[in-house]
Amino acid sequence: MNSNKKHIILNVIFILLFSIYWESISTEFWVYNRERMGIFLLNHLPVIVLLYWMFVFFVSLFVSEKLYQIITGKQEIPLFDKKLYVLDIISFGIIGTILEALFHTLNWFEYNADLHWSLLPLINLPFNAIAGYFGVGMFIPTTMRYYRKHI
Amino acid sequence: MQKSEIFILIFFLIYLIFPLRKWTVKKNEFLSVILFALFFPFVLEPIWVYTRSEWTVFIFNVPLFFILYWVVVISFSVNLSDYFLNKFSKKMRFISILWLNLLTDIVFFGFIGTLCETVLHSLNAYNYTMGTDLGFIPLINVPVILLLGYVGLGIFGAHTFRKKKEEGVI
Repeated sequence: MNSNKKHIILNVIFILLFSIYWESISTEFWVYNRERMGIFLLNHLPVIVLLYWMFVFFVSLFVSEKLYQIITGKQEIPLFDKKLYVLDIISFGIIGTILEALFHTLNWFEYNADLHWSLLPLINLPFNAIAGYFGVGMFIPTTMRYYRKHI
Repeated sequence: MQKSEIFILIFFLIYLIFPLRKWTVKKNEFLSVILFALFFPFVLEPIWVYTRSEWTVFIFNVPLFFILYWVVVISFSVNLSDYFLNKFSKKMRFISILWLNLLTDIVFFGFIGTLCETVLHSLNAYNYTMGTDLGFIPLINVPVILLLGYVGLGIFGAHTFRKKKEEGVI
């Protein structure tokens, strides 16, 4: 198997594991619109949400790694580098927030009203949700690259 | 001072001397976790309702001591995981270092996290308002989701903490 194929397969497995894990433990934060979400796995996990996470990860990783290559002039993506770390945080934060705002506007889900989260004006998203995407950028890409390198 | 704060302080002192290392290494370790500790309790703030006392300093509904708690619990779990990995990797040649490390991360993050969560809950440091969907762990009455949360931190975060520590990045 060539390294590109292996790279993509490992990414897909990792993202699937992360999204199933995250969607299983965060069920109390939001309520999905069952009419719009289509098929649910085990009557609980919308398949479209797994695809959503796949999209968020692939686009964010592509943007941060491409920007890293342009900024540093290096072709190889290291396991960890300060510049790459900052780019990961920014790209996951911005891309995740845009997509979350889009799907919230499309009425795919509602935040649990009991949370009383403060909302960011204009896009009406909770600060916590936005911070969550920056947090994902802070931790997950480095772990993905670690497994990509060592498996 | 609340009992829970004394517990966190003692835990922090133990962490400072175990394992005994150069100040620069400890500093890097502290820095590698501090960003998570400053960020995580605020993002998931609705899960815990903290007990208030006159003495306790709060930052946006999160006691200052709990920032220290997250630093210590993560650093301690990573250190213990590395310690056991070094100790057992030669004896357990049938399993590769990569998977053994994943196993030690899961075990120590899950164990240390749940243990501390149990102690703090029994010291009345907080109550749970959410995260009870999957029920509670029998005997210790800690929500199953929290155990999964610590295990997830070990699976998806431990290597990032290690890399950040190596590089001295916050």
